[in-house]
Amino acid sequence: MTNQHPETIKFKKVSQSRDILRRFLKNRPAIGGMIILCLLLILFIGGCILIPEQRCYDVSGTPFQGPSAEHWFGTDHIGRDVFARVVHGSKISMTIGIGSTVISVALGSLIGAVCGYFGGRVDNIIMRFFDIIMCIPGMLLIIALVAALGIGVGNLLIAMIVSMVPGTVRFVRSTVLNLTDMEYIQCAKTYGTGNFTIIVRHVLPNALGPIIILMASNVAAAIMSAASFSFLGFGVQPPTPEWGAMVAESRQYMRQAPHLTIFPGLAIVIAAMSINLIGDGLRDALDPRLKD
Amino acid sequence: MLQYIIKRTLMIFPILLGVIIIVFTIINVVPGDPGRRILGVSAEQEAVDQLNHELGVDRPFFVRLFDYIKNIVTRFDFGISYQSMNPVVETLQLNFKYTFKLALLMTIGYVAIGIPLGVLSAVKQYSWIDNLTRVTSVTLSAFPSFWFYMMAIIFFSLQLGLFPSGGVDSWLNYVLPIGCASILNSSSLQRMTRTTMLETIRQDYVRTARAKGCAKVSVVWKHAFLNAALPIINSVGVGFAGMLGGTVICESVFNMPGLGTVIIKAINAKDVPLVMGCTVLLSTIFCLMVLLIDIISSLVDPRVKAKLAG
Repeated sequence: MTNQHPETIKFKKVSQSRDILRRFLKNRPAIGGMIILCLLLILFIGGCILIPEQRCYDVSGTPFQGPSAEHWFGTDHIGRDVFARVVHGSKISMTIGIGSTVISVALGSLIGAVCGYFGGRVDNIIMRFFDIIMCIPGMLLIIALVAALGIGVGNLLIAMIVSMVPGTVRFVRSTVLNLTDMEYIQCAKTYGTGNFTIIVRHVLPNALGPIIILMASNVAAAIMSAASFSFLGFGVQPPTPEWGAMVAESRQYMRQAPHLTIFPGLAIVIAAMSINLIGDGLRDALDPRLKD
Repeated sequence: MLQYIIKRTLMIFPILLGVIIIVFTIINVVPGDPGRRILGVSAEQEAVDQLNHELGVDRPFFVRLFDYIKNIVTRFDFGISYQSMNPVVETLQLNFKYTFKLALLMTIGYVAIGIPLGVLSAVKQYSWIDNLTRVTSVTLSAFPSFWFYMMAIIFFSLQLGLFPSGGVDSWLNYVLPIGCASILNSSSLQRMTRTTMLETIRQDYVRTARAKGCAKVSVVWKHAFLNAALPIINSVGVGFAGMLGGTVICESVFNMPGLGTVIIKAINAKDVPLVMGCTVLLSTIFCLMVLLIDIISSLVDPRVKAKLAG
């Protein structure tokens, strides 16, 4: 670290990201996940553009039809097209899943970085507070928040963010704690760099690997838990299409029309699995301990 | 050693106090009008005010918080349910046994599946059985539990007619929920067991044990597994405590009685004391469980013991 020449650093940076990319591309399950996710996104985005949203609420079809050329996934108990509903349902399911993860990771990273970097009394108080929140089982915390705020998509999103932040804070804080002892941070300090600049320019970029891994592993879990809460009736309300809510609606008709349960659930499984595979690949590519 | 246990046990009180304060604050953030809720829209305003006064909800926030904590500590009183006007504690007592039984059976189930599979795939690393369990566990971790339960109902109960699809009348009713939950939850335990086992199995003392001619079974279970067991015990303990709060979906899908069913009904009826009672009770059990595991692991593991002594 004695040679601080900008060109040297730049060269190293490029080779590192290329290295990560090379490792990621060699990981066959991750590439598989990537392809599946891309196909799924093309299907959903294309579907949302090509199939008018009106079709989700169109009750002109015959109820309980099986899959056919006209209705790819069949029709539900009041004759709505299940394929259209699954496609349009992806909007809410994916938005809650990705949105809650991105917001909670952003918030958690900031708090965690500040706590880990400064330490001391503020860190102590904030961490004790989050420790206590983490003593409440996650599912119950979300339920309690939804009970307080009222049932609805926005409130579910808030509840999920609140329940995900403490874990992120703890994770990022421990990553940052290891970083603050690094020579380059000390070096920046001796240069007289301000704390804010150090956190934003030096600490957070170097903690980026673990943060990306955390984000990737949280997205799938968040999509599933958003669907679970909608299934329980705490999120999206019918007739709005959403995967969890659609499965919940199909409960009474499991005997005569199992396809109503199968298709929305399959959408969740495929989305979550492809994201999980990509997340595992990213972890293997980014984790320096597994480098060789 | 004793000092650590006492210190750790005393720490639980401020934590529990914090949990109660946070849950109380969360649920009382939005001002409600329970009197109006109980009596309905057409009731007289005076009657509503009177009921609010009797319930004590018209008092300031901190007074209520203080009273709530005081009642729990001194009389184990969680207030009165708005739905049934019975003490919350009665409902909790009545339903806790179902949830406890379910969570306990699920835990036993997933331990019985997860640990042997994890050990097996670590011992036979990169064999077909290892690859198969790894693929299965990645696949299973993408299954939302409610959908998995429903698929099991569709297949085993509606198509094959082997098991009932819900209720708690006989042991047959428990087969599907316990079986599905065990399979789903075993995947993460299996992965964890595999990782910790892979670390210990490469240690020198394991090689020594093998070299001196110990039977393979004894090397795997007595030398390697026992040393890898601590983090596994930790995760099972926390998993059990978390499951007590996570049976909501299972109870809902299989129409079983229990705290999960109670909590869903309570939320839909906006029955604040009941939601709060469930949350506080389950969080308390969660904290106590974590404490218990901490103490047990400090007693069992000589490494932790040495660290505390030195």
